[in-house]
Amino acid sequence: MTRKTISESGVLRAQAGDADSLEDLALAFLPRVYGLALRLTRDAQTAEEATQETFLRVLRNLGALKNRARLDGWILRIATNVVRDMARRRGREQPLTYEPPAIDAARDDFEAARQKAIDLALGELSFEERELFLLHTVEGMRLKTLAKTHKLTLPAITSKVHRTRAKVRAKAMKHMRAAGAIS
Amino acid sequence: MSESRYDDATLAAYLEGLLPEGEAAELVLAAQADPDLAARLALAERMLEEPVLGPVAPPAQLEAWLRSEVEQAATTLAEEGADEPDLLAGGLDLEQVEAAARRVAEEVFAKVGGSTGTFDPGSSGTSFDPNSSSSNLRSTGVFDKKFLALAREVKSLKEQVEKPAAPSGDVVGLLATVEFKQAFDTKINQVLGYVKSDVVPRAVKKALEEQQS
Repeated sequence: MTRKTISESGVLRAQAGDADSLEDLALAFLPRVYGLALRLTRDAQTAEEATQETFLRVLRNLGALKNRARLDGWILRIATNVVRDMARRRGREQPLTYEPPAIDAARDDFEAARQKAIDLALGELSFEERELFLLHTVEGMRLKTLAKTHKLTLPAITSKVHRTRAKVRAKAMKHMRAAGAIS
Repeated sequence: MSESRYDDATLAAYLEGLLPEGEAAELVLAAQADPDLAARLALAERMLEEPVLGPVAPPAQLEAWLRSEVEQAATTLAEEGADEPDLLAGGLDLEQVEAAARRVAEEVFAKVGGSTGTFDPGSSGTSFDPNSSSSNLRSTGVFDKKFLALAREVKSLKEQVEKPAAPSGDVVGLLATVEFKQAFDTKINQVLGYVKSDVVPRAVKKALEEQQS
């Protein structure tokens, strides 16, 4: 599934209430928001609820968005806040029912095995680590933005992100090795 | 032998720049001497190459729900936007165009402050081309996309106005079109003139003051 993008003029039309543009925008972000929520919460039901809440907020506040070029970051930050709030409310009762697909060494090529391995590795991280990895490494959010949203200095967030990435690399390699996808 | 000393976690730490300098240098030397270690290092490097993870297909019911929400939201947004000047609609209000351009220009230059010294929107108002990649505004690195979008809209309107009016036989309508065109040109020049003669000098002055302080 490829990632769709929305032009600034498309966002402008959506903000003006053009139904087609608004639908394009919403559907383009749906897989990303749901994927982020699912990988963060590790529970399909929670991810679905978080996705709904995210889009309710997005649709309600889209008209007020001024920096259209930052639409991606704006939506992903809303999604992360929603998921974080939900996780906090549910605490330890939070179920972790999402099981990423297992690596099939006989069928998966390196890329497919790698993606599955990373998804498996994410399940072994803390919520905060998953969040940092998904927002920075997967979604491309800048360290400067993460520092601001996490109320940390740039060196502190950089260090955290790199430690998390190292963890994911090592754990993913372990999964690939265990599945026989690499020697 | 390299397996025990350099496990996956160490290789990953090295790739993320987390190993102390000395240890990192040792690892590089070891990898040069050990093809197996070099291969493992290359593999570790590939683990986080783009794209790392793709989007996930959402459940069908979620997509259906979103479509219905979008329908409602579009109505609300269209209603909310009714008070704003619709720059692309037929009923153009030139006062509103100018006011919007002035407001955006002020925001832009207030935001960028001192870095506007070389900004020149063009020697004459009508020569400014917001679509040109060589625009001074763009090359200074201080251009604001919001302003540029507005400028594009204004330019597009201007081009529409400049198109020869279709012969309709309606003399009154034709006169109205010519008058409209003149009024529009005047307003555009006023907007760009304002940016050039008022906003930019103020921004330059502010930048100089900041440098001196």
